[in-house]
Amino acid sequence: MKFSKSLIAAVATAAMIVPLAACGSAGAGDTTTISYFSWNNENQVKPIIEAFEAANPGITVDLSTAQGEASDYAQTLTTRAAGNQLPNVFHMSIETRNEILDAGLARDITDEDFMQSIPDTNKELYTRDGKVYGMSPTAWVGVIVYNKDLLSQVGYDSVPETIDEFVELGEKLNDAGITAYMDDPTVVSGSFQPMLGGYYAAQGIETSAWPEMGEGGTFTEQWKTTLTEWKKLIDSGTMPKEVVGVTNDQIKQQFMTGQLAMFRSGPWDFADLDSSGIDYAVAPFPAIEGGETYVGGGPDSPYVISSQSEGDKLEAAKKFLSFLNSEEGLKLAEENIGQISVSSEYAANVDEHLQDVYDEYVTTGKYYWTNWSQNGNVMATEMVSQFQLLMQGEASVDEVIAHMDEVWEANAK
Amino acid sequence: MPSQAREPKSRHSSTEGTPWFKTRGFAESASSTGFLVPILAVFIVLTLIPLIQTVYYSFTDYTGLNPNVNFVGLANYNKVFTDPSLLVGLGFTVLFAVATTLITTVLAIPLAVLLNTKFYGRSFARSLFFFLGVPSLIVLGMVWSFILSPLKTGAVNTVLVNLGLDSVPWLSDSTLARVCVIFVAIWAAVGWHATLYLAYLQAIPADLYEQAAVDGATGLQKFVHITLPQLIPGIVVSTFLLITNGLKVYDLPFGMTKGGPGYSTNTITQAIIVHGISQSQYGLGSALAVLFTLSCLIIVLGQTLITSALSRRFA
Repeated sequence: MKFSKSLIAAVATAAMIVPLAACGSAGAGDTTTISYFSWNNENQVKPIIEAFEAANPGITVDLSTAQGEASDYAQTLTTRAAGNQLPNVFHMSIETRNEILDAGLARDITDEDFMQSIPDTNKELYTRDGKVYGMSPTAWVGVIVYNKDLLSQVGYDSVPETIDEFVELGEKLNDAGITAYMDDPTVVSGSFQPMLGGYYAAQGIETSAWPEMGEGGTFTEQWKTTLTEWKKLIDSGTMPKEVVGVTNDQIKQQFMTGQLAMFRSGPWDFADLDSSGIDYAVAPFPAIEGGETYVGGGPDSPYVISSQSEGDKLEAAKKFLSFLNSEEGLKLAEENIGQISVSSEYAANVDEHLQDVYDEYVTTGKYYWTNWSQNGNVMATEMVSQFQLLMQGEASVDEVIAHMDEVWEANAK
Repeated sequence: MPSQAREPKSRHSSTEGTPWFKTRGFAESASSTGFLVPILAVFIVLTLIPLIQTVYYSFTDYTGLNPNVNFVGLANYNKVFTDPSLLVGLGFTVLFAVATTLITTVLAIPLAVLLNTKFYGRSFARSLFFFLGVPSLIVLGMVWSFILSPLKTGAVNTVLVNLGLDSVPWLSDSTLARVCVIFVAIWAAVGWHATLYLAYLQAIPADLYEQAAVDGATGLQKFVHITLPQLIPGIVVSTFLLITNGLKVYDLPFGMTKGGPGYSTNTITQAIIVHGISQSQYGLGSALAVLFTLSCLIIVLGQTLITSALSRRFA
C-alpha cells in the first residue's frame, strides 16, 4: 500500500513535469532545418517557403508567424530571444533595430553575394559602423486611397495637393453627408509622417536636425509646424475625431461600403478593394504650407540572420536569403505579399493603381517614415497615445511635442 | 480482537525503540505528502522561480534581448511612480476591479434568485446567462468594439440615429470608453456568477423559508435575513474571483480599445506586457510586476479578511 502510494505520487510528478520537456527541440534528421519567424501571415509566406524548399531539397524551413501589428512581432521575438530560442532568420524593424543590434543578435551580412543587388538606401537603415545587418530587397508605400465616385459627387476628380484645399474638399464631402477621410489611430499616423517628410524636404532641414536622430534637433522645434497643420484635419472635421475609437478594419469596411471617401492605405489592401467593386485611385498626401507632397514609405522590414546560427544552419539561412532576393523569390513576394521590389534582381511589376505614385514619388525618393535612432517602440507607442489625446482635444500641439521631447530625454542612453 | 487493539495507542508506546523516521506515522505522512509534490514542482518551476527572476530583473536594465545586464538600483521603481501613463493605468485597473466586483455582485445575486424560481423556459434562461461568460474576453472585446463603434454606422449608434437621436462617441471619449469596458465586463460576468450563486441558493434548507413563512415574513425579509446570510460563502468565492480577475484584466480592454483613447483604458497587465516585452524594457516591466503582485496580495488579503469577518458574523 505504502509502495503503491509512493509510486502513484512519483508517476503523478512525472506526468506534471514531463510536458515541460516539450520546450526542448526535436532532433535533426538528414535535412537541415532552419527556423524562420515571418512578419507576414502564413498564407502569404507559405508559397515562397514551398518554392525555396523545392529548389533546395536538403533544407526545410520551420515557419512561424506573428500576425497583427509590429508590436506583436516585437513581443514574440523578444520572448523568443529571452528564452534563447532565437530563430535562424527573422526580421528587424525601425522600432526594434537598435535593441537587436545592441544585443548583437544580427549577423554581419555586408559582403554576402545576395547583398550586392540591394540598393544603398535600403542598406543604410540597417547599417552600423559600416556593416550591414539586414537585407531588405523590397519597399512599402502608403498613400491616400480615394473613391472616385464620391469625390466626383462634390466636383473633384482627384485629391488636392495642399492641406487647405484638402480640408476644403473634406468640408464639401461632410456637407454632402459623406465621411471625408480617416487613418488608423492605433498606429503611428500614416498621414502625419509624409506631411512631415514633405516639410523637411521643402525646407531643406538636414537629417541631423530631425529629432528622431538624437543629434540635437527637438520635436518642439521640428514638429510644431507640421503638427499644427495636420490638426486642421481634425478641427475641420475632415477626419472625424471619432476615428480614435475605430479599428483599421472598420475604416476599410467603411470605405468598401461606400461610406468613406478617402483613407490611408497601400498595396496590401488592393486585393480587398478590388473585390469590393469600388472605383478607386491613389494619391500622395497633401503638402502643408511650406512643404511638398510626399508619400509614406521606406524599406520593408529586413531579413536578418541570427548571429547564433552556425554550420549547416548558417549556410542554409544564407541560401534562404539568396532565394528571397532572387527573381523567383521577389516575384512570389510581389504576388503573395504585395511587396515592391527595389532589388536589381527583379524589376517590380507595380499595380496599375500605384504606377503613377511609384514613378513620381517612390523612384525619386519622395517618401518618408520616422527612423527612430533609439527606443523606437517606446517612441511609437507614446506618439500614438499623444496623437489620440490631441484628436480628442485633451492635449494641445504644444503639449504633445513637449511630451515627446520629455519621453525622448527620459529614455536617452 | 486482541485486547491491546482497543487501547488507545500512544506515540510513545507505538514507537518505542524505533527511530522516528521509521515509524508508521512518518511513513504515512511522507507518502501522503508525496501527492503534493507534483503541484509543488509545477508551482516552483512555473511560479516561484519566475517570481524570483522578476524581482532580480526589476533592479536591472535587462532588455530581454541583450544578455548584458547591469544593476540600476531603484531606477525602474522610480520610473513606475513618475510615468503618467503607468499611473493612469493603475487608476483604471483599480476602478475596473472595484466596479466590476461591486456591480456584478449586486446584479448576480438577484438574478440568481430569479433563476431559482420556477418559470417556463428556466433551463434555457439559465444556459443563456451562463453562456455570456463562456467566449474569450478578447473575442467579446472585438465584437463589442463593432457594436459600440463611435461612427454613425456602429450598431448602437445606428439604432440611436434611426430614433432621431445623435450618435454617441462610445469608444472615442475617454470617460465613455472606460464606462463601456466596465459595462461589457459586467455583462459577460454576471451570468456566470449568477450560476455560482444559484448553486449556493439550492443548498439553503427549504425549512428556513417555511418557518419564516409561518412567522409571516415578507419576501424582502426572507431575502435579507435568510438568503443573503446563507449566501455569504458564495459571496466570498465570487468576489474573490471577481477582484483577482479584475486586477489582472488585459484581454477585454485591449480587444475593445487597445488601451485608448490616449492611456484611458490602459491596465497594469497591459503596461507590463507593453513596457516589459514589446518595448524591450524587461527591468521596468519586472518592477511593475513586482509592485502589482504586492498590491494584489494586499487587496486580496483585505478582501479575505472582510469576507471572513462577514462569514463569522453570519455563521
